[in-house]
Amino acid sequence: MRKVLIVDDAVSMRQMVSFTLKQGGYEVVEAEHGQDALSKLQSNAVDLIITDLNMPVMDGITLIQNVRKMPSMKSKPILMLTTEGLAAKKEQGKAAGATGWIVKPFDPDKLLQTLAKVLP
Amino acid sequence: MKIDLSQFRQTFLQESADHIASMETGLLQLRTAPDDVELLNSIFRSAHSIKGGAGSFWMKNLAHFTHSLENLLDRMRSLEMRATDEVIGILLQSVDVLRNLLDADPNASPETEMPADAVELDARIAALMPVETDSAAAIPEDARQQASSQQEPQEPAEDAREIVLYKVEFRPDREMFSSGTNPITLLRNLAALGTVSCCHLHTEELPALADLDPEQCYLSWTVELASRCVEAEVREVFEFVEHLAEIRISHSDAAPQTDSLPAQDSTAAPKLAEPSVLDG
Repeated sequence: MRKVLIVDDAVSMRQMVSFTLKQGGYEVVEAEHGQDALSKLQSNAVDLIITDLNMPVMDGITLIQNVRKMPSMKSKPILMLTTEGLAAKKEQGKAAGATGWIVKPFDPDKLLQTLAKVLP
Repeated sequence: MKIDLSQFRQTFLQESADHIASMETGLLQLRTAPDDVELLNSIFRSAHSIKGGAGSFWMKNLAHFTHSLENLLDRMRSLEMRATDEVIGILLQSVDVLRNLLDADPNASPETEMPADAVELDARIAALMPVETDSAAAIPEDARQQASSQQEPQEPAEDAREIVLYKVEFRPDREMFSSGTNPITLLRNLAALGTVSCCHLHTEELPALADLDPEQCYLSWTVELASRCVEAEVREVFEFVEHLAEIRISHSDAAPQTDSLPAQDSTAAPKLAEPSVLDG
């Protein structure tokens, strides 16, 4: 079963994404912010990361930059989950090494379609 | 698959109530520390979280109002705007409006009009912010895309469309792998849009083994695809890599002979091509 790490400080958003992914047949690991995600990655081999960008402790852009330095995660897809439709935020994420993005409001069907689109 | 997320609404409401309380506390602290960027970031994140969830639960008025707040707070945290007494006063009034919007009747129609106090405060927030010199820049990209798609003429149903023979030239940048993108996945998604008659692999850039860097992408492809999809759908396959590849899509108007092409089934992607046509 494919394993996905969800990183978001909003509990309701994590619950919605997690529920949707489980319905779609994925295994899920949750983290509250970037630092928590890096810690979870020490003990979990994941196939994909979905991360919010604005979070306390460590934001999503910094997380992506750190994940891309990990040999085991260099080529794994990372999706940004964000309300920012503005190009500037996407550009920052792309420059950091994000694979793609999902724009909130959260749409469960769109989420599953996007995962299928980027997972090998 | 229809996934019902309404069970998470209560969590969102409780979480948002906590965010509003944090915003209020933060705004009061801001009076004595108007340049505290971390404090401003924290207040911004609260508005940001409320907005993200509100849209997901169709709380249109709450989403709209927090969007305005988020814009204002974004300018404040980047120190484009100062946290003056006037601005902090308006933000504190916003906290009361947010509480009322959060308590709105959950059974009310999503089209319910915004309450008068929220409309008035929203206008005052807009008046605080300098007008964008480029009016297009003020509109979120997704809203622009939505507006643009609404203006486009309606495409006929897929089954009624003519089959188009596309030629797709896909030349990834050397650094494509650094974004976690697998070009083969993109080719698979492209193939799922119809029937691939030819997939030509270009290996001219491939160096000798001793010089090969496995983290670089040296290959490129030309794919001929017969599909009922419009060009925008074909281009959407490459949505995430437009900055990481050269993509050329052309098509001939003449429909190929495969007029018995079945309606596409996204769950059953056809094979890209037989190995024999993957020549150099």
